[in-house]
Amino acid sequence: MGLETGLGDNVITTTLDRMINWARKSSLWPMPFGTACCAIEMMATLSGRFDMARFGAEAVRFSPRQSDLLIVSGRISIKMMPVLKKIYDQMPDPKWVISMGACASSGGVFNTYTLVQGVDQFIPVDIYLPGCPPRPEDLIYALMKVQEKIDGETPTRKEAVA
Amino acid sequence: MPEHMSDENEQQVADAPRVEVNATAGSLKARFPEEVVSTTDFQGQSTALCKKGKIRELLTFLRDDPDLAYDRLTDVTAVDWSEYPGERPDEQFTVVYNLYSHRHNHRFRVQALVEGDSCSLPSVTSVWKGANWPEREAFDMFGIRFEGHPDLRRILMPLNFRYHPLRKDYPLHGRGERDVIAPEDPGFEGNPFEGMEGEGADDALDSERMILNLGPQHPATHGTLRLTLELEGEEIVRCLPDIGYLHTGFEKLAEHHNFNQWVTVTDRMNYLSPLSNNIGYARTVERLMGLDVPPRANAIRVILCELSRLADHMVWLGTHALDIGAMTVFLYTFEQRERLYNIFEAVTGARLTTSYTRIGGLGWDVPENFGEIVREFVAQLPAAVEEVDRLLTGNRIWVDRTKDVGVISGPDAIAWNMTGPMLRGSGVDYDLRKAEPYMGYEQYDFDVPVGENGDVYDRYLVRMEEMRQSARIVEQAMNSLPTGPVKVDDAKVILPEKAEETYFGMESLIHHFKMTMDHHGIAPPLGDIYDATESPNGELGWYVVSDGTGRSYRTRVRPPSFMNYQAFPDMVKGHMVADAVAILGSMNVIAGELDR
Repeated sequence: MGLETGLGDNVITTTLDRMINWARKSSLWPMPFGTACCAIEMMATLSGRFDMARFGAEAVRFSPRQSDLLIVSGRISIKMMPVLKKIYDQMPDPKWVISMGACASSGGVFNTYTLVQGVDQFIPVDIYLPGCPPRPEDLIYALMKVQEKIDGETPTRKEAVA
Repeated sequence: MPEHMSDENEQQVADAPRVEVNATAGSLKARFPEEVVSTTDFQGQSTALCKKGKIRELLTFLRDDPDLAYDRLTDVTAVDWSEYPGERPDEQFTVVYNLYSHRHNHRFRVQALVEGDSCSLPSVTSVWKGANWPEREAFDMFGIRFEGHPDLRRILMPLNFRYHPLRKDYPLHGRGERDVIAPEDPGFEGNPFEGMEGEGADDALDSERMILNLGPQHPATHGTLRLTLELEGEEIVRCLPDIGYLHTGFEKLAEHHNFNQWVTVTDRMNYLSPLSNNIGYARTVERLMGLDVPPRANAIRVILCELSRLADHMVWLGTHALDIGAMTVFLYTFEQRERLYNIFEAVTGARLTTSYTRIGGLGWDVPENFGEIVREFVAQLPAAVEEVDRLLTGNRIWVDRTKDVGVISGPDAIAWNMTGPMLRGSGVDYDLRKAEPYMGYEQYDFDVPVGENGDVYDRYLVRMEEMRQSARIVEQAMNSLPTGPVKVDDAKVILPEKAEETYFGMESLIHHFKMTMDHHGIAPPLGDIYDATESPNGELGWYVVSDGTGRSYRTRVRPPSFMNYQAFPDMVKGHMVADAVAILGSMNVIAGELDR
């Protein structure tokens, strides 16, 4: 490659898409929408033993305006759903959503009058994470799946390339 | 075979222990002969069924008479009797008041008859402040109107919800409300203080007052609590908590699950210490049936309860400190929690959703290395608590942020129906493990720490000391852990072992079949029971009405967080916004049990 030899060892070349994706996936800022048991496991994932910082996602922001990864962890009731929808809408694009645990994904063991049977009825979800609650390792796996998904995106072109 | 089994069940009912109606029922009858319809006695608990007209006078008498002195209204709830198969009250509803006397260490229950069409009775909020939220909940869930209640609005369901979910004619899955959700919650519209009593801003032009919405998605509100604050500058003038954002319908589910199935649901109630919920609930149903579990099961339950208390207090400590700005503590306490998770996982197979108890004992015995891992944990714990203690207890910032903040006096705490570290921080020496020892707590030597001022700092000290005491109890219980079975030997209660019995014996196979079939399984006698344990946050009570089938007719949870949290508006009044966060942290409100 002629160009790279001319630039020497301190410069590498890549596509703009790959560079943007690399930046995005390596510094995801989670918005933890933690309501119930799953939130406790999310806290465990963030703390010392599992340490989400290893995956560049430790900068937890409770302000949706500063976040790009919504982690819905816990049961969402019909009273809470409008709040969740609003938070999702307030997050700037690009944004990704992990539906953590059985309740957020499908209502879980609670097939009752008050519980939303899966948040995907109201907001788009990128990664469904099964478990009741999922272990911290599972959440890290989900995070890596989001990173994989980001890697396949083409931010400089509107249509996704298959 | 089925006939034989039903005979056995009847036998069980006849054998249930009966004691004399306690003196309270007699005094009540003598004082209100017209009002008391009947008195009953079941598994050592007395209940008076009364007319509703003079219920306020009647309960005031129970509170004020020195020989009775029921100074705590532990819980208010309701039961819809319309589908009850047994002998039932003459009206559709009863409102159930569970009372406790600190002076005499007695409990008593009053049920007031409420007819289905008028559906109202006098409120007792003027007698006990703590009746406020439980009455609102009974209104929300059953549509019972409490006349004279200062703020009778829905508490758990959204304000625009049209039904009363715990009525028997309302289906478990609802009437489609969960599929169509309005984009805006009416709770967020307008000024929620409008039309309420209190020193509101009369003159809008003259006032600097501001309404601030805090939560439900705010880091310091732990996920699901919402506060509306009226501020004068940075001082809180009025506060209105809004809860129910995590309402899950646990109590309705209990009417559709058999007793052992519902143990799984209790895990998800106070998810910081699921084992205390498992154990508290199993104990209640066992008491309903008059069952005694083997000593080994009790000792293991004690160990696990205390380890849960530690796990719960660790999260409280970490998040409380985090909210006030001390990040390090959170990382230290979560490391301790990981160690506890290792124990829970070794015992139950799960880190968090343990589901370890069965009615009549435990799911299975603890693993062989249980003693080793528990001792290892207990040995390193004091150093870990000391480390946090050195970081916080004498820390100037910590003391400034917590001393004289959120003060509540002992008598106020009782009137507000507070229990647990909240109550003990205010100087009231009340711990169920000492007052009404259960599971053999009387065998262990431990102290109950009590505060003096009832502020955030005292509650902090109480919980810190409780951690040390829990470690003491665990150590003693480990040293005297009995051998033997961990389940009662009763095929009508406990599932037979699959590998050894079910696959090889006809009788065991039939028992297994009967136990797991719908509308069969455990068959407790007809009646109602209230039982409570000292959970990490206070008195975790369960009120269960049995209709003799494998499912409960009505299950009510008396969550300590719910009762403690209702005093919050009083406690924050006059403080700064930042203090509200400190006070909230000291309460350790767990949304799962708050909203159920």
